Amino acid sequence: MLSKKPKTPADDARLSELIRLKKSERPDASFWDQFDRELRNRQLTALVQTRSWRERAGAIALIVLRKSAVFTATASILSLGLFTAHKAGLFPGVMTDSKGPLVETPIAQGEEPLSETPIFVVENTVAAASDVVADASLDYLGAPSYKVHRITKQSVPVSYRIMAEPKQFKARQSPTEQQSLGAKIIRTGNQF
Amino acid sequence: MSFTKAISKSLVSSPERQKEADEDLVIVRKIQDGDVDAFDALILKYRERVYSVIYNLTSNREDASDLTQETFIKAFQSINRFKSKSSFFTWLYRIALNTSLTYLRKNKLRRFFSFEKMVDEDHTEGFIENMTADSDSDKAALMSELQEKLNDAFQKLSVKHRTVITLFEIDGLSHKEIAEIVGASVGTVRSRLHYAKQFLQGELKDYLR
Repeated sequence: MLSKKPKTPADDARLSELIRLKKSERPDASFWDQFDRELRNRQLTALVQTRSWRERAGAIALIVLRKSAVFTATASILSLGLFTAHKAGLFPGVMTDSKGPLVETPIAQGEEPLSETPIFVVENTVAAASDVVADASLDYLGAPSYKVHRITKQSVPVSYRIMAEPKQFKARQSPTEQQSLGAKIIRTGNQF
Repeated sequence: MSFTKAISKSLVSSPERQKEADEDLVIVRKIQDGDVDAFDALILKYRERVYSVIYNLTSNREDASDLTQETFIKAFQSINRFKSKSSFFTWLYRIALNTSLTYLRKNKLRRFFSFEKMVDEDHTEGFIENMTADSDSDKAALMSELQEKLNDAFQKLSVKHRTVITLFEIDGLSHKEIAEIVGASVGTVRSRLHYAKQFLQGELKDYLR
């Protein structure tokens, strides 16, 4: 409820005096004793809580660090193991080199891969004769002829087993008479 | 003079207040440097004033006690953040006010009052003399009635008006200091004060003759 009566300075002073009565509403000494005790306890609790909080934060940080250290170590060991295994080629069919994929060369059962493709040359053993007519197909005209063969099957290093088709050189004395001139291996590829 | 001290000085109204503020600042620096026991001096210096403000805002002595302790605990916990931009007491009062307002908001619907006894005869003496009661017991009864009416009238004020009139009339702060504490302009403080006084005049007219 607002007072509609205009205030005088005396009214104002009287009101202030009345309000200041509330200053006398004060607790006694025993109240302050209890107040101080309680406040002290709360203050100590606040201090302890503050420290505990810091300690907790520290502990949490340590746990996180430890856990992350274990995790990091585990991850490192695994990575290292995988890397080593990878490098050692323990994973077939897996590309291990940046140069390119491994190309598996199919090798037939019981065969060894050939380091090179041997060849052999067959010489016509028949002495050249003017009357000897070479294989018509070679259009041999008396000069020694040679036929180069390429080994396509496995060869045995000590005694070559030529799997090439035997080649017959024939001298043609006349278009109707042909004579076998024979042939011999004079070189093989390994001897080149 | 440091910048913060200069600001602090500009916010303090009288030389006495300035001296107090400087003394407080010395203590605050000690606490900030790790001397936590130095806080006791600030408690001893301000506990009654803080209690009085909170008591007049809440009109409950138990709550006022609890909230005063809470105010000091909060101040203690955040003393390192006090940067001397205001005087320590302004800062402390602001904490007290915020703590009280939070409490009042939370306990709006279940508040009850418990008052202190009027123990200061210096303040009551003038009124007792003017009372027409013959015996001391009659005077005491009249004083008790006056206290009840006064507190009733106070509780009818809004928290904002109650705060301003408490700080001005009971705690004796200046308009400027109150403005600093409540975070309003001096004009707003004057306006609130005027309204509060007008209201109380109407409520207490029987005792103002």
